Amino acid sequence: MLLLNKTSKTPLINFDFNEKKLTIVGICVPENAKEFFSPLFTALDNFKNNYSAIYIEIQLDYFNTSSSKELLNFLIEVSKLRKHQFKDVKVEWKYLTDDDEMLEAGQILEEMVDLPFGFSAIDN
Amino acid sequence: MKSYQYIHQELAHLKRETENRSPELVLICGEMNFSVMSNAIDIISEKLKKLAIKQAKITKAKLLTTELIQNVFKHGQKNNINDSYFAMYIDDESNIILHSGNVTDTNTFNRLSKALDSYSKKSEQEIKDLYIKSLRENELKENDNAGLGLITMFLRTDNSVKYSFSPANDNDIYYRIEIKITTN
Repeated sequence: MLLLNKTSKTPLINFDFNEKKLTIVGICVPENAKEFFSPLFTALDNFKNNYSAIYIEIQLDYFNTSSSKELLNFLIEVSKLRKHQFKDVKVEWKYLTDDDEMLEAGQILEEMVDLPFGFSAIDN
Repeated sequence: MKSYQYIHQELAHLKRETENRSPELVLICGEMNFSVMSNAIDIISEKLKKLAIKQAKITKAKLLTTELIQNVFKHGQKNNINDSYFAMYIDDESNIILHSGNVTDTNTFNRLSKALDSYSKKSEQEIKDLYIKSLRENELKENDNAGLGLITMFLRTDNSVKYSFSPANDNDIYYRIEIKITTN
């Protein structure tokens, strides 16, 4: 289990092992993205040996480039694990209705990793 | 810390450009950091919501403001100079204009001008390919991360980034970026 509370610069990160669900919601402009995302990589390491499925839900307001890089690295790790540990993986990218900008950001990530993505628009 | 040597003339120019636009104007001068950036984005977001600007354009403004201000304070930290500003205003055609200026050294200027000239000649697809390639490269150096920020600006503006450089003194260059976000 990993729970990082939301701040004005960083999103809520809730990695609930029992539910096999990782939720990332909010603004993502940490001063040091590598440091901020580091616990998530550690949590994935702990999770991977005991679970065979993961459901990832991402809903970002906006983010900086260093965060998108870390997010991509994380999803690449998950896609590697999909070949061995994880039988069931799904990434759900949520964005505000009419926010084509965040939809496109998710679509670019989808292009870059071998993971099944779903996209859903939510009301403001 | 050297400070405010060049910024007065930059601000005078900006003031002329933004006359009669005070209700929408956001102007930040001096030292910038993550907290300043975060507050600026909150203010911009509120102002654009009040103007009934579409959500996608507000997000675009937030993403680009993040890159512009980060770019400004990276240069500030590197050069130990505080002559920086960031501005957002709405032009006569209701476009969102984001503007930033900061001092940089001649070495950075050479690298930046080469990169900017190269990005500005690329097509939308070429910029997207370059963004994906840069994002994929795992171990980027600090300078390359700044490059990724610039590529992001071109990606998110359909290649409509204006930039200019002018000598500030024998060693330093003043570096400006202007981005237009169409709202129609």
